[in-house]
Formats: sequence, C-alpha cells, structure tokens
Amino acid sequence: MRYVIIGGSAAGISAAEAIRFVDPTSEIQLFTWEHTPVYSRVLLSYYIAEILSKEQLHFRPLDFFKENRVTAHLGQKVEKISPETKSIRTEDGRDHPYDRLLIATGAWPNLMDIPGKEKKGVFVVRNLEHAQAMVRHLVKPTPVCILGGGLIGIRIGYALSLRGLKVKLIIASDRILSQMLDLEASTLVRERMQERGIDVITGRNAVKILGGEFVESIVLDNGEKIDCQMVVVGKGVEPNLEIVSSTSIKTAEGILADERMRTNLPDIYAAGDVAETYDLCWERTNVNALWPVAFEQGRVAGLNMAGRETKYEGSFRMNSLDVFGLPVISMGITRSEGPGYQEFRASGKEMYRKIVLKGGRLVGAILVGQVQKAGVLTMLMRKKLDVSGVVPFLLSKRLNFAELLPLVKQNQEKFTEVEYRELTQRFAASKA
Amino acid sequence: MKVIKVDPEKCTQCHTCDFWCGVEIGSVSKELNSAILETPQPVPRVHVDGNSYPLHCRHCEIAPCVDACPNGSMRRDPQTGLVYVHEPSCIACWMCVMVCPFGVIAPSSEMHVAVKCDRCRHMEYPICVEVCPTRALVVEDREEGSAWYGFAPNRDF
Ligand SMILES: Cc1cc2nc3c(=O)[nH]c(=O)nc-3n(C[C@H](O)[C@H](O)[C@H](O)COP(=O)(O)OP(=O)(O)OC[C@H]3O[C@@H](n4cnc5c(N)ncnc54)[C@H](O)[C@@H]3O)c2cc1C
Repeated sequence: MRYVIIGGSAAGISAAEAIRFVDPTSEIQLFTWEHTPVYSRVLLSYYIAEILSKEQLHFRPLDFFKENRVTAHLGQKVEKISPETKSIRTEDGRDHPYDRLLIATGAWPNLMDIPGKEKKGVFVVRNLEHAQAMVRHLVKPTPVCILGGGLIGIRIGYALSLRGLKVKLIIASDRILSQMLDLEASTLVRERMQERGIDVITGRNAVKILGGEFVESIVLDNGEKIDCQMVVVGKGVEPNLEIVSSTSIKTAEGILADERMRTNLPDIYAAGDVAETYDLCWERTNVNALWPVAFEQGRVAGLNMAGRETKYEGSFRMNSLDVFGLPVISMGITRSEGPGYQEFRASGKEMYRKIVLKGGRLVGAILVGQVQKAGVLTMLMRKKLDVSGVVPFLLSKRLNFAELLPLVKQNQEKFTEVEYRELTQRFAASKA
Repeated sequence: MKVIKVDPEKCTQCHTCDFWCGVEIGSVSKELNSAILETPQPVPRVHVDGNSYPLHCRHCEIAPCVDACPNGSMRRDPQTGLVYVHEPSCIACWMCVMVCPFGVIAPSSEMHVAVKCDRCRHMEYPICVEVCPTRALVVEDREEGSAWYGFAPNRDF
C-alpha cells in the first residue's frame, strides 16, 4: 500500500500519525509547499507577539517524519491530481503514484480587492513566512490598521498591541467577532480591548490604501482618512481547491467528504480546512476551518485509509480566545436563527454566559470571563441530548459533569465509549 | 491502562481527595501549612462536584484534548497511555478546556497552565486513592480490549 498525503499541517500530520498507528510498514509520502515542517499556524500570533520563538511553534517533534517513517517532500507544490492513473504531479514535473490519497491542502486568506493592496506594509497572515515578513517590518512601533474583526484579525491585532503598536480595528459589521459572539459578549471583548488601547471602528469598510511604495494611510467608506504604516487584512479564509478544479471531485464551499472522510472518487479522501463535512449544529454540510476539527478529520481519514473503518460524526464551530486576560469560548450557533430556537443568558461582573437550544437540544454557547468546564457543553452538543430540563444548571457557575450523570445514564445508548461506560455502570449500581 | 474508578456507594463527598491532591500535587510547597497560604491557590486535579462521584481525567480512548492542543503540550505517556500536560510548553489557550467532555481540565490563569489529573503517573498510587477514608476510589485496569490512541512522544521536545 502506498499512501500519499498532500498537506503537512494539522490534518495531514494527524492522518500520517493515524495511518502509522494501524499500518506500521506501508509507504507514506507527504507533500507540502511550505519549507518549515510541523509548525502550528494557530501559534503565529504568539510568534508575532514575541511570546513564542520560531523554535517553539512546532506541534510535533522535529524528527516526526523520521520517527514515523514518512517520506516528506518539503517545499514541493502538488500541481495536479490524476484520478485515472492514480497519481499526482508535483511542480517539478514528476509523477507520484498513490493507492490512497488524502487532500489536506487547507485554506488561504481571502484577499481583499482594494486599491493599494500591493503596497509595502500590507499583510495577510496564513503561514510562517507571512508572520516573519510582518515581524521584519516592525522595526519601530507604528500605527497599524486591521481590516476585519474575525478571529484572525483579533488575534493579530492583539499580538501587535502587545508589541506596543497602536492598533485600530476596522470592522464592516456592527461588532467584533460577529460570527462567534452576540452583541453582549462582543461588547465585553471590545471594552477590554479599548481599555488597553486598541481602537475599534465598527460599521466601516476600508476602500483605499494610500501611500507611495509604503503604506501611509487608509480611506474608509465615509471618507475618513486614517494614518498608518501597516495594514493587516483579516477577511476570512477559503479552501485551497485549486488542485481539484481539473478533476471530477465534488466540491461545494469545500471538498465534500462523507462520514469516512472519502470524496466522491475512489481512494481519495479529504480532511481539514479544505473539506466540507457534516455540521452537527446546522445539520447540513459546512466548512469548519479550525485546528481541532482538522486534527480529528485527519485522524478519521487516516484510520479509514489504512483500513480501520471509523465514522466521523461531524463538527461544529468552536473557538477559545483570551484577550488581555479575558477568556472567551464560543461554540456552535450562538444566536437564534429562526423558529424553534431558544436563547438563555446569565451575566455578572465581567462574565457572560449564553446557551442556544433548538428543539430542546443544545446547539450553541458563549462563555465570557469564566470558561471552566466549557467542555461539558461541548459534550452535550456532540451527544445531541435534550437539555431543556437543565437549562439553569448549564448557565450557572456550578456547571459540572457529575451532576449530569442521571441525564447521561438516561441516554446511555449515546455514551458507548469506555470512558463513559465506566462511569454509568457504577452510577447505576448506586441508584438501583 | 489502569484508571481511577469510583464507588459512589462509598463516597461521602468528604473532600479528602481533592484537599490532599491540592496539597501534595497542586501546591509548590507540598506542605499543608504553607500550601493553604499559597498564591496562586493550589489547584486540585480531582473534582468533587456532586452525586457522590468525584471526577478525574478519564484518559479517553480517543482524547479530544490531545486533538485540540495546538502545540502538542497535551500528550500521552507512551508506556501507559495516560494523558498529561507538558506544562513548560502549555500556552494557556484553553482549547483543551473547551473540548474536555468531563470538564476536568482546569484553566489556571494565574499559573498560566491547564491543570489536569495524570493519575499520579510517576507515583505508585495516586494520592487521592491513598487518602480516601472510605476506599471509594480505587485504581483498576480498564476493561479488556480497550485501547488508547494519540500523540505519545518518547521524550520531551
Ligand atoms: C493566525 C492564525 C490563527 C488561527 N487561530 C486559530 C484558533 O485560534 N483556533 C482554531 O481552531 N484555528 C485557528 N486557526 C486555523 C487553523 O490554523 C487551521 O484550521 C488549521 O491549520 C487547518 O489545518 P489543515 O491541515 O487543514 O490546513 P493548513 O494548516 O492550511 O495546511 C495546509 C497544508 O497543505 C499544504 N498545501 C496546500 N496546497 C498545497 C499544494 N498544492 N501542494 C503541496 N502542499 C500544499 C500546505 O503547505 C500546508 O502544509 C488559525 C489560523 C491562523 C493563520
């Protein structure tokens, strides 16, 4: 058996690990157009903030490939997939055959179409080279404008602020992190940022970047001009579909992958930011471009590729963020999206909690200020339990698993994993 | 894999386990008299929340915290499969807190680290098991046929 993996990040590495777990001997060939192996993109903002050095960015030992007997082709771009001949072609013109192929090519930032975007001092952040270029540019503290109030814009803005730069966030919607947070939660984050010197401008778009060779200012859609020596574009990402465009691999927003992470073509799998899979909260397919999701999908793909049938249950959006000591976790659908939804809130000093139910099921949550035991909510979302009887408990600081044992017990058929069975078996004994 | 199991018939929620876990494992001084005065306060690894069911890390067969950790700080002991936090590299991003189904990973912002039970993997017996006055906590083999999966480096990196 010969496995080929395109992509050497969360999904690709996780798949290689999984294949090796089942199949210790077959050949694994891994291609990545990046030169730096096994580094974590999620940590790039920590690198920019000088919290982590380049050496601290990797998420697996540097001898990962050797240890796992993976032939890694670093700095090699795959240009073409030929399902008919079961091979791929790299940019140097060489063909590499595969028996099973994984496409884990990830995503790429949406580039804004804005006049002046080619000027020096305009950045996106997706890979280490981007982050390094930005750090090289930071010779002295300069004013910077971040275009976009999504997760990456916030992370990079926060990092630059920690480095002493004067940061302004320019956000088209009415609040920061509009996909993750509702207005209440978003306001808490915004206030914390403003207290620490980050300016937030909402409801505005940048329409022009001015300057000569270097950025000097931006112009907003109300005509306002803001001086800055640096612009960071954080307007979301889109799946890297280029290499599948010439094949009959089915795509929607991303490559459609089934519950074994297979594409519509035999022996071709997809995982990670490039893949579109079942969303447990929306109950339809979705691209959830997130690190934990990519890792899980990579594992499921790898196990299936190596012949160990494993089902992928699906994912939902989730993220954890800490802004100047204010922890924030958001998951699933965070506001009512039509009939059948119910929202419940609790708030206190510097804390806010909200859960969203649909037909009695927990489909979303926001936690600000106090995030301990957030995973219990994740569990309830994954297991699709009817939680309508325990709403006040879920909103309270007391939230914990032990007190949900009766509910877990009632839904035993959904808790088949050994780690749950160990608990429910004994719990039954005591209540019998 | 050997894990800690609970007999809820015997547990009286006396908090002896989390108390001594905090002192012996969580504190810097390891001395009762000074441990209770430490700031930040020592964080126990076992959670006594209710239903006579103290909860520890369950060392899931497939552990979502290991998947979610963005830099490999959450990992498994290659010999035993026990899940532990490599504290020096933990960046306190709380991704593991977000996904732990049992809510037993404590985010300690003061210590800037995710705190969880590793079943006292370097000790002969977990401290909580040793101190439990009613023997409600025991170390037992996990049922036959169970496995574990995930990142288990042979050495620190
Ligand atoms: C600054 C930043 C902060 C983030 N913060 C968070 C966060 O807080 N939480 C979270 O969950 N997620 C976060 N993410 C997203 C997270 O990094 C991604 O979800 C994750 O990296 C996806 O992994 P992946 O393996 O699917 O793809 P990617 O990480 O995008 O990797 C794609 C891989 O494919 C390779 N590749 C692509 N095309 C080709 C080709 N044609 N030939 C050869 N190789 C190719 C690349 O070299 C790379 O190795 C963040 C991302 C960034 C950039």
